[in-house]
Amino acid sequence: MDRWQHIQDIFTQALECAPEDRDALLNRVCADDAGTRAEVESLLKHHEQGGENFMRPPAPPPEISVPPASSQPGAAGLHEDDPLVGQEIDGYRVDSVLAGGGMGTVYLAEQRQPRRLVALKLLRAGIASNSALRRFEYESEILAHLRHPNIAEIYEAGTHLGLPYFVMEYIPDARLITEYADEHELSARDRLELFTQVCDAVYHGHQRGIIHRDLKPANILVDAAGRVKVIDFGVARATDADIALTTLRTETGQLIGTLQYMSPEQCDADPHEIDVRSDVYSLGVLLYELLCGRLPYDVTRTAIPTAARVICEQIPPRPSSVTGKKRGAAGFSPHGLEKHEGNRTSERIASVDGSESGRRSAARAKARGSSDGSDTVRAKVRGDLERIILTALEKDRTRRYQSAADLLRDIRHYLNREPIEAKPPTVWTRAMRWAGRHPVATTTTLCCLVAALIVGGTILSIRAFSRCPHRIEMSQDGREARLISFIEGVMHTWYSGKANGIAFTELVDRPDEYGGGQLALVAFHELEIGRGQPTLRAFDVAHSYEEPVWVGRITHDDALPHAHKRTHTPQIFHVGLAGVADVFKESPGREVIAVHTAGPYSQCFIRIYDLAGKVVYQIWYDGALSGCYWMRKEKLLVFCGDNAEAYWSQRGFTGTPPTRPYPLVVFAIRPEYGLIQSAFLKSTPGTDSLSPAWLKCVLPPTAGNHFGMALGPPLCRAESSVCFSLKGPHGVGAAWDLDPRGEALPGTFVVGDAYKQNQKLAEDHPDRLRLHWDDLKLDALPPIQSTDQPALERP
Amino acid sequence: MSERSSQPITQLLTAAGRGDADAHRELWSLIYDALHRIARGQLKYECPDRTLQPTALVNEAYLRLVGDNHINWNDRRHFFAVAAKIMRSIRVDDARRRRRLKRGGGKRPVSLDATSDEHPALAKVTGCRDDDPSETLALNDALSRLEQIDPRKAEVVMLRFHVGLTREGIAEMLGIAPRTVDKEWYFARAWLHRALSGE
Repeated sequence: MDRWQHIQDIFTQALECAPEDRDALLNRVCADDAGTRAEVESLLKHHEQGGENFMRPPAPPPEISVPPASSQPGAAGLHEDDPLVGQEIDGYRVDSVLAGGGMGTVYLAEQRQPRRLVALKLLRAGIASNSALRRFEYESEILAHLRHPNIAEIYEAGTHLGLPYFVMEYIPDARLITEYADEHELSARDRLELFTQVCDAVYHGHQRGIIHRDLKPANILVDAAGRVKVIDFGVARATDADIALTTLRTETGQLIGTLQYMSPEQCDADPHEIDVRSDVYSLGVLLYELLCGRLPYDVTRTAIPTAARVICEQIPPRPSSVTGKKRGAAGFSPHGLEKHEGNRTSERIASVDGSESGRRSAARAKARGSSDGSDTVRAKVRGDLERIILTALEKDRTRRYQSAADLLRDIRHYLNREPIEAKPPTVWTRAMRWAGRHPVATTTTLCCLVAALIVGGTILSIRAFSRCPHRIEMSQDGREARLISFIEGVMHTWYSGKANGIAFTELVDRPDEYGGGQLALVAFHELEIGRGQPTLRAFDVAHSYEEPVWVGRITHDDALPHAHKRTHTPQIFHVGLAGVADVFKESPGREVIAVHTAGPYSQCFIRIYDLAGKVVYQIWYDGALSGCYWMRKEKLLVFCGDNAEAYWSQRGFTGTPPTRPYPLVVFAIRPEYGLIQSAFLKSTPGTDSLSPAWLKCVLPPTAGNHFGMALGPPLCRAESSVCFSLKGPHGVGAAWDLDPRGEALPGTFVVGDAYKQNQKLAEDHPDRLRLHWDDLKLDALPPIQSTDQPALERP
Repeated sequence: MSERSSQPITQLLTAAGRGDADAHRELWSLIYDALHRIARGQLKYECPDRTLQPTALVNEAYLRLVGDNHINWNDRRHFFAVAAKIMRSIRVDDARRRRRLKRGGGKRPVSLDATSDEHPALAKVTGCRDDDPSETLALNDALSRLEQIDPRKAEVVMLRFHVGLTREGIAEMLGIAPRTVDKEWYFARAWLHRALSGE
């Protein structure tokens, strides 16, 4: 390390002293150390070889490196002061300045050998490194081999004071392509023909692996003979000066001028991504401008970043939508850019042929003023031609014409009135393109859409479900029947006049034969005061909650005189109990089984309605029924209740007058479809339609009047059985499972939970309980022994 | 506008300065992210590329991460040292990628250094995309050797060549005289030139 430091010290000293003193220094310092001396000398040699260019630090920001104003293009007067004018560069005598541009200055020069006029373009950007210089030489070699009638030939390339220059074919009387087209009032067809020459030239370059990279009207000249000459082919690349870099250093207007023709990938991406399709894009812009008289984007007054974004994202207005507009007094120069380019050309011309320029300008002004021809041109830009332009201008280069030749071919197709190859973008493509350009909007929209779908769907389904009845339930006090929707909302409430005024509710699907939809069946013991007879009512929930579609009621004429010589005739029947079951195969859907009971008295109708309200079975029963159960498999309708044919006393019961005057019975009937009898059901089992399948008496009468009756599940223990239960005072209960013949199934006598819960009560009243349970049994109804009216009054 | 409070980065810088490897790693990714974000953000909206210079980029990253808090020169130095290394590695990766493209053409074999494709935005601002990639790689190797021999010289080279700091900036950063920076730079450059010439 010491030696290393030593060497550095000597190296530094050597650098600091004058070159001629170095030897002396080294002699003195390294007198006895040949190795160190050799090392230092070697490093010094490499210091010289490398020079300042080796490992030059990254350039400072561009604004600092803007060249001095003298080399900036400007008013024509400035060019006269150009220090190069009159000088000689490598055998070229510089005569005058033709044009100043972003990349450098174009001079008219005279070549000594062969003697001819040439255009000499001296670029402003220096060659940064040795490797860059090598590449410049290599690239200019290639450019020099580019031979095409529509490409301005490059004769030579070299460097002058470190600045690269190109010597090119000089095109006298050159006009910018756009100006040329306007001045000559070319028709659309002629403009397209002119444009095909450009395509041809560009394609030629592409075939030789050269991308122009800076196609714009300023680089596409037309000579006096109407021949297109593309200039600056590949120059940007060859000089290591990407357009972006060079243009940044120039006036904004000019930068925008270049920017207008730049492809999105040139704006957005790595310059190494640029390929022939970038030129295709620029050609598309040129074609747009040639045919529509304006540029696809107006980025004149926008900041550079915004302009770049516009180019990358904005869809150009369809040529058919912009055509037909007059160019107006501003003529062909809606943008500052073109004015600038115009100036350039004017300068170019002025310096070559001052006397002609006035006439030309006048002609151009005339052309601009008379927009008739141009309108004709523009009127034609639609259909296939529009599609050609828009295909060339596709943001995504994979959708563009893949080469200038493809573009050229389609234009030829168009000119020959043949079908073109470009396909219009599909709606999907356009949608995706839009989405790509507006990721935030798209995401937001999609999120909103999804949210809207969820919310909307929820709301809709809530609304739908809120309108969709789910069930009917009775309030606890039996005063109200509520129609409940799927979201547990109360859709409607029917009221009765008093507690337990509603006997039955059910929501059933009505078969299509009867009109479809849903029926809410509500049986009223008592209706709201003043609302008519208590009845079974069927409401079509889709229509009206107030107007039933049918009403099951017993009319005055239906009532039978009492078979047992009772003196009164019941007038008012309420629906004591009801159920819904599929009793009859003959009618669609289920049937409504209703028991219309006459007030507090004994008689009742057992009736079955179909869902259209038609009575399909009817029979009278003498007694009040309190339970009903349909044994589906056995096709038995099981009831329980009082049997009022005779009091207990008439059946020979002689003990303490029972608190319940009639025997409790459980019986089953086998209803027949269409059987409508105005006669009482017999109490003796038999086979005719008025006899029950079986009938059992529940003993004894001492069971008292506190017993209620219920039938059916969920208490049943066996399939094909019916459970019949009694509920006594103080929660004491009993239940039997009956088989289809009405026989109690063995071991099914149970004491209900209520009894167990009241164990203490059972212990407190052992006698009473024992008595009751021991006496309970099912048996045949005792026969009537006397028809004497009992002494007691009916309640 | 510091993206984080200066506390964590200051701590990280101090810890990394002490040789804490974890802190160094975290610092690296922090600065890398900042550089990357800035580069991407700028390139997205600024059409002409290369408007963003490495110097500006690193300074911007410094401002974002450290803000205008005063941190001691040692931490500052560490920050820029890490940034310089990042810029260097980006340049090298970019060169590798370009060399591979040259060889493999469009069909690129699966690469082990997949990370090199992750920072095209940053690669743009290293400013030397048109270099011969093999030159860049050779230089990188030489620089690594120099680092072994004389770390300070290598640091001067990186700060100057990869970040683009001025001699005064480097002098302040490293706490040495500008003249010393010159000495180091000239010597290092000559040494590297010789190394690249293969002598």
